[in-house]
Amino acid sequence: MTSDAAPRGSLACVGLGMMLGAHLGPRARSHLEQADVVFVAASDPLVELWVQQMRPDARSLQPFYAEGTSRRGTYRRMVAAMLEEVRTGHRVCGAFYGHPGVFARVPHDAIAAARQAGYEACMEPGISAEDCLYADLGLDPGRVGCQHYEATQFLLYRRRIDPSAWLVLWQVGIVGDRSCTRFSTSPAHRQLLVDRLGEDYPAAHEVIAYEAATLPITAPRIERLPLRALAGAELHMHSTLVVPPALEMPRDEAMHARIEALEARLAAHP
Amino acid sequence: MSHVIQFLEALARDTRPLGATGYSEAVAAFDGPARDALLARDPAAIATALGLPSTYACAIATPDHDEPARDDQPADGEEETPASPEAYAA
Repeated sequence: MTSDAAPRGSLACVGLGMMLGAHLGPRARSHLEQADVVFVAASDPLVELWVQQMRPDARSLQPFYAEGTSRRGTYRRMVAAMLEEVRTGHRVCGAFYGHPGVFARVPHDAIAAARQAGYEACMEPGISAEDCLYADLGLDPGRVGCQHYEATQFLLYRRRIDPSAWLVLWQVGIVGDRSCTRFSTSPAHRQLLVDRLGEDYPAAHEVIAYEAATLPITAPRIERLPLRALAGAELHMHSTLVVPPALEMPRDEAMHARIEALEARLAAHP
Repeated sequence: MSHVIQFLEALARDTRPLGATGYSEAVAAFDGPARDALLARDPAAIATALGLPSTYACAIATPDHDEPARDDQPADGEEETPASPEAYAA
């Protein structure tokens, strides 16, 4: 099906999923195949090569990264590169690993900028690391609840943790990097996170270093360790910290009583 | 086009168990470093065998989505300002 409308720039940010070849949805694939210009941000060079098999002309966003250069500027330049092609009148596809809208600034900023400038822009979801985490760890976020924070943001702001729910901290391998210029941070930075978590969890509390599998021949990394050992753990840019609940959910007796009273009133006066 | 990538994609799309022997036999079709890396199930080595970097930067989020931290300075010398849709408008 085609449109009679004159060609006009547009943007679609799509998710590649986490595992090479396994997670790409049909709509995301269609955008990849139909776009005039494709940009790709993959978590893994093999995944990028797989995208380039589909689109040999795909432009990697990887060269935009440089250790020592603020990622804030890097992200602006990525957005600007995509928007420049949109303004030229091209149908642009930005293909991002995982889900393009989950812990991903560039796709959100690019879509907002395109819409602000009057262009059509959309997002096609993908299978995120979070989705893989639920499957690999057998974790249902609906069971006792699940909190998600970017690890450095979690350190920099006072957040109210609920230790009776799961806690997931993303980008833990670069925790404490306020400048957004590093590809890893030190054990001393991680110790700050251990100290912060120690306000709500015992030092012996088991936490999990998690990394989704990006190839079908490897297993996800699921490394369990005590919280106190986190500073010395091997963590990467794509590592995620999962903190299981430490407490039972505290029952709200007052609310139970209010609901009971409400239901009694409704039963008496239906 | 890389046959290694085609092989990995085919594995990813087929949930039938290959088994250790079947995998070794399938991998034997490749040559040299690619075969060894596939046998070792080592993504970094596979990338190297294909002439790719062994790792990629993959962060696409910042801790402060709407405003940069007040006291950090960009290492590349550019002025840090919050990203806004208007910043990219033509």
